[in-house]
Amino acid sequence: MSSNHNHGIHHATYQSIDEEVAPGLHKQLHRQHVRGTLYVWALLTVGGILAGLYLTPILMPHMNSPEGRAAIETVKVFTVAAAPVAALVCAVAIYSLINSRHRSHLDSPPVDGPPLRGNALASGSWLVVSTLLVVFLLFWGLTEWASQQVVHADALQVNVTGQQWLWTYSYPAQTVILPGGKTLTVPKAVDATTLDLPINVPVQFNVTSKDVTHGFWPTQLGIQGDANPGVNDVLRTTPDHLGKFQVRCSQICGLYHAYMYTQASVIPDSAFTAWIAQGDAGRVLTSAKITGGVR
Amino acid sequence: MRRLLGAGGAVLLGAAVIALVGVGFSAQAYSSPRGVQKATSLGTDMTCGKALPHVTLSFATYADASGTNDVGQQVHPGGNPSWPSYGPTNIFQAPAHACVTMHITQYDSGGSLNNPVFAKVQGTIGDTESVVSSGNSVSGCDGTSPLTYDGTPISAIQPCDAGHTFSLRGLPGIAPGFFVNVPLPLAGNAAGDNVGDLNSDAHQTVTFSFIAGPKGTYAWNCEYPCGLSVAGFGAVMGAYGYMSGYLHVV
Repeated sequence: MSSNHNHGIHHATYQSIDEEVAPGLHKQLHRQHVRGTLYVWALLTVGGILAGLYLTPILMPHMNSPEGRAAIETVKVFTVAAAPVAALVCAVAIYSLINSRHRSHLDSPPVDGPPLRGNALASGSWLVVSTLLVVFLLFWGLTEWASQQVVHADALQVNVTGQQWLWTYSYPAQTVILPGGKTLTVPKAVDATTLDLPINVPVQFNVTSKDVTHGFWPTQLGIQGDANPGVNDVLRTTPDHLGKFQVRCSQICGLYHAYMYTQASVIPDSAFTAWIAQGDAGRVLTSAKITGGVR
Repeated sequence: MRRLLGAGGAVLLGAAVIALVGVGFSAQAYSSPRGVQKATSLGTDMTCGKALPHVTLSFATYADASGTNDVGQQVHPGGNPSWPSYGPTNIFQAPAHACVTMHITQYDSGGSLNNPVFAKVQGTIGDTESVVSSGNSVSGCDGTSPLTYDGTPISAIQPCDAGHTFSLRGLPGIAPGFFVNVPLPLAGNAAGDNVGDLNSDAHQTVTFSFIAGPKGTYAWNCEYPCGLSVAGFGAVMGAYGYMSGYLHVV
């Protein structure tokens, strides 16, 4: 559009263009604006889709469980699905800012355009597209959620306790029968201030709090749940990649919320067995380690 | 163009103001009106099991934040008399990778921990602490009367005999696995007592050593519920500078 056209719009109302000055001009300008907006929209949509596909895996941390990788996949799919919608909003805003802004303080401000009413195609498309998108997201979300509700008959039980401003973990005495008949035994209850998990062993976290609400968030396992006092919140996962990550509190819980984290590790099951049997000086406390006497 | 520059400048100015406020809050959090207590060098020795520079820090826990100690220091200038407090400061400094020995004189009363895990010593040399009692007349929760300790290294106290804890952790990016927990057994002085005199007030002197991690700021707090409201972690426990602080490792 030339600057002359812009000036014409700024100095005349849409009503005068529609009804008095140039009935054909408005249609032409309208098409030009729509076309321009569509170009910007297409560009932004492509950018958004590419960002969703290629930036998401880079920006998200490496995940140590199938649940974590499913979370990345969900973020990726949702970003791609949202890209055309977000791009449309941004395209209208950007195009309007470039073409319809008030260019000089000497100009009178542009007059608002006529309301868009009675365009069945526009409102119908908006309704159908929005509904399809929402149904798709709901379907995807429920499917992912259902896939994570699998209860393993045998899972390593870990009791997680949040309190201002530390996490503690308790491994009750238990024997877990692993797929293939192998067993993993915790011969005696162990309390720890770090979270160590054996690889490829289903884990059930029983999460609670001693005081206020905390958020148990093992950042690279793809699960997160509230720790409420008096409530047992159950979370399940199967860590399948070795590595270290942090457990953080995801609910603002007071003065030292920012420091409420612990180190977590996924380790080979042989290392876990050795660790659980012997304890780990300076990190893990077992009742068997209390050798100096108790007062 | 001028408008664009103006808009950009306004955004940058806003970001700068926000950053400045953030830096200000951060600086305030990491400093203390009571100053920073620097560790005293004791030379190099084998206290931590190998030859390391050895430093020491001495501080106390008081039942009354508005009181003064035996050398005339105010525990917490302007402190609430019904709140306990660490003193004479809550910010400490020690060299990186040095053997740090802390002496904490515990004057306050106590009771049960919310979580018995914090009754156990961990992260110290040998996972032990030694406690020497002085003038204590109150009983332990198991009926031991009075609750006294003779300095023998112990690895835990009864969870119902706690006065406070000193629970120190490294932060992500600095020392993520670093954790020291030391329970401080109760002494006979209740909140509101203007106490803190080594010669006349009951106290438990807790000594322990640990090897400091790499350079950085470490956070510590008390895990005994010595505040009010929700599970004893309101009031003093939610106020900066009383029962929590930092260890600057330099």
